[in-house]
Amino acid sequence: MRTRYFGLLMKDILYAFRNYCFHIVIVLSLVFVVLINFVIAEDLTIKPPVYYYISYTGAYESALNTTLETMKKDHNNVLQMSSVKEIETNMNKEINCIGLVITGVEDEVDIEFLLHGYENEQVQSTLILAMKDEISHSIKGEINVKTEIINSAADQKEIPANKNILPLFLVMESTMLGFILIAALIFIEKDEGTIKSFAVTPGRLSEYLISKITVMAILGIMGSFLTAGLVMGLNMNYLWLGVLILLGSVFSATLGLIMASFFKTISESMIWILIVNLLLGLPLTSYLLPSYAPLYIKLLPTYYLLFSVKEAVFPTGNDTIIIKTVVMFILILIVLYFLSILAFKRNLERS
Amino acid sequence: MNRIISIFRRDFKSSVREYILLYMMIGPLLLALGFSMIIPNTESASLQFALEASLDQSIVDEFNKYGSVFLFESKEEIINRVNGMDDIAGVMSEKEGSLFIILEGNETHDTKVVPQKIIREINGVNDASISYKIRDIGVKRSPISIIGSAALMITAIILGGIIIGFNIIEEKESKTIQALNVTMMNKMEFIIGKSLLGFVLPVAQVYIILWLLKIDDVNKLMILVIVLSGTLTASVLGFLIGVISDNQIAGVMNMKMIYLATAASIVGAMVIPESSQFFLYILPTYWIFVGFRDIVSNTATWHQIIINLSWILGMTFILFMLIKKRIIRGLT
Repeated sequence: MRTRYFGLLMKDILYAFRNYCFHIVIVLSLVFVVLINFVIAEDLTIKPPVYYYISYTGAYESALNTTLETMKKDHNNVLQMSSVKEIETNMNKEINCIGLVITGVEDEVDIEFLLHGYENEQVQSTLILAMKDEISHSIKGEINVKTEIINSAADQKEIPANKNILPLFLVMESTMLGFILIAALIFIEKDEGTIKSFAVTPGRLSEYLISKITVMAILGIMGSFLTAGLVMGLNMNYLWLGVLILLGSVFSATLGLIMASFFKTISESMIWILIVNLLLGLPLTSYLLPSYAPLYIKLLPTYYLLFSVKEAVFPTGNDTIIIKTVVMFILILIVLYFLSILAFKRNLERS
Repeated sequence: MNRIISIFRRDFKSSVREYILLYMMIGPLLLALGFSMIIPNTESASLQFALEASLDQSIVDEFNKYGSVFLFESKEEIINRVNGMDDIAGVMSEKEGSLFIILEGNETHDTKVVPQKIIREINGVNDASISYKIRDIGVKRSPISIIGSAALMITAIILGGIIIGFNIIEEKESKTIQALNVTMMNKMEFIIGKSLLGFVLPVAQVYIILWLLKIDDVNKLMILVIVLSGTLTASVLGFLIGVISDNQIAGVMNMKMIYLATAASIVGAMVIPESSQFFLYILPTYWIFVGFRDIVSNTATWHQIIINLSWILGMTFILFMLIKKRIIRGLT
């Protein structure tokens, strides 16, 4: 059995090599290394411009000016306008900005926020709260609220924006590569009749499928170690990263096998494969907006994989999330593996 | 002309027979439908707070004004929740009643700072003699909806090109190209005939996507200009995939490269400052995305659209001239 498996594996590796799979994985990884290390900036926080107009004179003048000065220091696009109309003109040109109008005399200050209209009530309340708090800070000074930090290692580690996208690449690119690639491999062998020929040999279907899954895992681990190694050096947990990428690659390859079994040609399957690929990529929204984690995203295994890979790449000592993900993926893989065997048996019987 | 239409009809028939046309048609539309359901949720993406259940209702109500509140019975439960993968701030009260915050440490700036501001507001630290108002200027379309719809439209166009590419690979593998080579048909007729499907479908899809996303107050003619020029780019890219890929595996790998260029155009246009976007100018996909984005946000002018069109056509023409020989040779 072992000899048959290694024989198949060598054939699949050679096939992938001849079709430049290894070359393209290396090129893509290097492109990402260059993008992360040299093109993307370390700080990508884009704060929406604030256009303000102030005509207020009175007791609060100095507090308001201090507040505006603090805002200008915090982000460089707080700009004074000469009229409310000028604010509105700028806001009509830009889809992501805020207007601020401060009027009134003596003890009566009127602060009006100009918004586009798509901002929800929570955003509106937060804007007012932030302004109130800033003005109060200018008048009364700093008032601290007690805060307990559970994981002080995580608190000290500020991840630069360019490196923060590394887990996204490792999961969406290296790991999910097998999803599309394995389907292509299966369709070629379907066309060439290799599957039918294999069916009349003593070889088992499981050996045939596991061999292909192994090639995808090798490509996934190679691509991710190359990218992560060149970006992070030795400052990450290679063991956990290897385990997670291995499980992720096997997951995507097995899912690809199941999908491929439903279609006759690659053109027929391509749209669905790309759509499922995009769906599995949805957790990147939660990765970029960590307080946005609705149920439909939490139902996708890639959500857990993404955050666990982040923990492996930027360790904070919270191994629990990695262990939970590993256990979850092992359970999912057992189910998917049997499903893929069933799907292929059905497929072979049909053809 | 008749031969071009014959090729188009043959592709059309075989696509219908294998349900490819149906899949091609409904695939991007399903994505649009899914996106239209996600938009309202994403727009209300706000902060999350894990509060102790025994806190006063007035405190819970106050936190509710700024985000989603989840109640927990004990400190352990709150710590477990805060330790989860997403960002959520825990809030509890000390024995004497004062509120304090529990954080994991890796939260984003807003999750760390806003709970402090809310607690200061609850403690009545803020001055009440200033009045606050909100007024909107009546633009209801959010940046998420604008960028998402532009990305969906470009996806529909690029998918058309990818299908052309895989059609060609299949023709090469089934040796139909050799058979066609001994007929009266010339290469250009074959190319145009093959591309027609990739032209017709995205035009219909883009308008249906706009309808599904309820984006009806945009300049439809400007959309048509960008779609038609975009489909030209997608067809050339499709042919490129088709001729340089000896089989479907190579096709998938080459498709990944094209996906990368498209993704780079979208992400680049969003996160790179406008003054530094010049190195994306050589990508026609950048101009397609920017064109759609400006049209949907109603900020596009005809002058700008003509500039976009010139870049798309110019870059596509250069790409076509660079690979023309390769295409002709690949189809032999």
